[in-house]
Amino acid sequence: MKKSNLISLSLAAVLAAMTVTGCGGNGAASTTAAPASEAATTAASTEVSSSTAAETKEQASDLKFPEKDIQGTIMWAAGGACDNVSRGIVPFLQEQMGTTFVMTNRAGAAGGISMQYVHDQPADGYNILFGAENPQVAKVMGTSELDYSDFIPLDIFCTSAGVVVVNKDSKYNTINDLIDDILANPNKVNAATTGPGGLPQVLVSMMESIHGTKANTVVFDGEGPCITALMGGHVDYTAVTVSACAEQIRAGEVKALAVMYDAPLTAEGLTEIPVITDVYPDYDKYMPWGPFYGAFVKADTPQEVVDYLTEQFDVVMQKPEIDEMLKNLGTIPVNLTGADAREFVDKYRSTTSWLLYEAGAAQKSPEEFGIEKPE
Amino acid sequence: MEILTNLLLPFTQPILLFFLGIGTLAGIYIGAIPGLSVTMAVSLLISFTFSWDMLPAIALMIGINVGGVYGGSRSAILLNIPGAPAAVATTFDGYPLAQKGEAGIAIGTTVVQSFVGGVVGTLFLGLFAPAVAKFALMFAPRDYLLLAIMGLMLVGSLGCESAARGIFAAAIGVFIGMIGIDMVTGQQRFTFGNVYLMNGVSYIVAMIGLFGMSEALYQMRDLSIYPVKQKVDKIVPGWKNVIRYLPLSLRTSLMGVIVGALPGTGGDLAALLAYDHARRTVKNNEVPFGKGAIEGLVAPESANNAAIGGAYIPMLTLGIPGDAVTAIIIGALYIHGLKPGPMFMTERPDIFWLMVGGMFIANIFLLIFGFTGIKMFAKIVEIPKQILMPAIVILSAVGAYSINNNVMDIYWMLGFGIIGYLFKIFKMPLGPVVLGVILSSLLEQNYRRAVSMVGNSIPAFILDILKHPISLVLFAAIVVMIVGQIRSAQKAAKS
Repeated sequence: MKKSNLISLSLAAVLAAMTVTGCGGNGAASTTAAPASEAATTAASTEVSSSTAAETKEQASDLKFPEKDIQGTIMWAAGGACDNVSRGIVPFLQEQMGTTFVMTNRAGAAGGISMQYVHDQPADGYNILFGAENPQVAKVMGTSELDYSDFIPLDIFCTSAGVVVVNKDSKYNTINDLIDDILANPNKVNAATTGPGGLPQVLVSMMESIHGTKANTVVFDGEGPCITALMGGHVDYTAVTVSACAEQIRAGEVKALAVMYDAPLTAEGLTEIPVITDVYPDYDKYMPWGPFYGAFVKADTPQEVVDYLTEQFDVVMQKPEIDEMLKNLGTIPVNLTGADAREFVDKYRSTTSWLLYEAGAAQKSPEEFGIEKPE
Repeated sequence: MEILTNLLLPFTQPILLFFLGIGTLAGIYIGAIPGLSVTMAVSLLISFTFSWDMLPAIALMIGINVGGVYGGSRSAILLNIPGAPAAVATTFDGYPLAQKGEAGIAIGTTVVQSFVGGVVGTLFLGLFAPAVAKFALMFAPRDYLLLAIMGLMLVGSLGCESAARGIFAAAIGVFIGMIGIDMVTGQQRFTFGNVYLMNGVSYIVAMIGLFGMSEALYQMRDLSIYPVKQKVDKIVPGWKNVIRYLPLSLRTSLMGVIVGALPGTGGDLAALLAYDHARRTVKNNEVPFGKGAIEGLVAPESANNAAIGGAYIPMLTLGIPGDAVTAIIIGALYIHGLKPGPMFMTERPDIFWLMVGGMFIANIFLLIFGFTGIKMFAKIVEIPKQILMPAIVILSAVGAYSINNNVMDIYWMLGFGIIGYLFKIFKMPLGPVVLGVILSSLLEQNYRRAVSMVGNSIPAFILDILKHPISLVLFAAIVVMIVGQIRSAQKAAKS
């Protein structure tokens, strides 16, 4: 009796210990991910990085940064596009800077929880936010008082394009067919979206603002479910990120009518999709528009720290391995830093906020926050 | 012939066998701990296996998936705390068995039934994947709504003596599920402007609090009751036993495959529907349901493991995840340079068959490892409460935190623990609360989708249900269920 009690006690202890390590593993696994993939890529990149690392060390001699581990906060859950992009880039950064990045996913409130968390930390450059485009509409949507104007963009890694798709048996064969039909049957054509502020809904609003189309939107909880509903023939069309439907387009399970971008896609099998600005030049004023991923620090971070981090990101982002990885993930690498990055995120905020406001989806006017109306 | 080579590849490569085995074993223990979910384990594995070869990484993930879905039943039986949402239904009859000292038999049964379900799921994946996927695509939002209503019907059979209490508890669950940003309009509901409430309350946090924390609080009311001594001499159910329940486990496995294959529903709903099915169809059970009926373990455990194979079907044939875990596996396949999509089965049949073979082997490992450690595990229940209960509180807190790395979730868990404690004191059933939280968004979102698709008109929506065969069948099934439920209630009132 006593003996068996002892065994089970120790078993319970093991269980408890497993939980604790399992939880710690959340952070630890993120850091272990780095050295693992580092090993795979070191061979290719040592030459470049050793010279640049030496250079920057010299420059940073009086800066004394970083003196401890850097905390990375990822805005979306593990396994999503934001997570994949961030965790793919970080191992290269660790190698470049000789510092450990401890990466933690803090998903929730369309990025609002991560924004709040990083904003609550000191503005010393040790807390880097790995975020997506979502916070740029948080103010007009009334979901958060923070957007990227409260942060400094270090680097915008990549952007992505939306694509208008219909069922393979659909009567629509061109984007003109679709737009003409929506114009002829207002509120009868069903569009699958992901709710206010999501990419599909913004693109539907964009079409509405240019052509005066009135589609009937049906809200699903993600771009995947939008595609599922489209393939099942339950909705008439949807506009989602390319990566969400690239395989279905290649297989001919759905028809792509137009790329909502100002350049054709480069990925195999998608190059033939018509570009919206070629068909309707009116879209020029909104393009290039698309979701983006980037790294940010809190406003008021010392300028020399921002400069140092920006340079480190810039060096890493120029590696061909990263370019390839970003393309594999279905994104368009851009690597914008400094004023370019600021301009890009501001333009996104202005275009999207006004589109949402004019479509009646936003709770507050962009004017309240001094967001300028696009030309 | 080529198919056979790929199917059997894991047998010829010891390294794949090794990872399948390790994955299954680890999965059983991860699944047994509430808060450590298969979803979490697989997403951690993505960064962990980033630089690995593709095949071992896939083998490890499949192993963890199969082991983890089974593992959730262990803590459900022993501690009345489901290790995962898919094991909620297992607590209904599993815990009463443990209280009678029959935890060994209960665990043995779940191992065998998980194996049966897992094999049925794998067979469907291997033999009928394209057909099942086509069928799953035909489910429109209105059909998901009807499925969710069927799930709600379970409230009537959740072992609560009073229907009013069951309905009240389920309504509270549905209400909790409505907290957060409204998906359609973007309005905030019951968030009080708090950023931590915008995404709503995680139903795993609710589950850990309601089952784990509240159980610990409740048990601590009387520490002098000595735990029941567990009989662990006979844990492997005999052949006769397996064959006896086989008709039921095949029916519920089939339900598991279909519900698992539907994008947007997974093992948790499959297990609940299967439990309900067992309660309605099994008449000559030795022990009544809710008091430790073996049938009450057979149904949910075969269904939730069959749902794994089901969930892989749309992933491998259409590139659409069947549940939360497959959504993450899709990401992993992309990282390893594969393109899971409609062309996957024609472009990479080797990987497809390898995954089918791997899943089959993982189920065999499940049968082997499932019978290990039962004797020691069962002894957990015999640990003095003064030690066990604080350990459960710690596990609950760690589990709640690890879902989103958010301290706020621990407070929520504690809050739900206190609510659950009060429920127990006032003899309110907790099962319907979790059922309500799980079904809440499925009910609401699909209702709104279904109505908005026909131009926001209720008559058009009803007509829509009557016009489509799948909807009509589901609708008819619900009517039959309601009529049956009222009849049995009347019978009970008479006698």
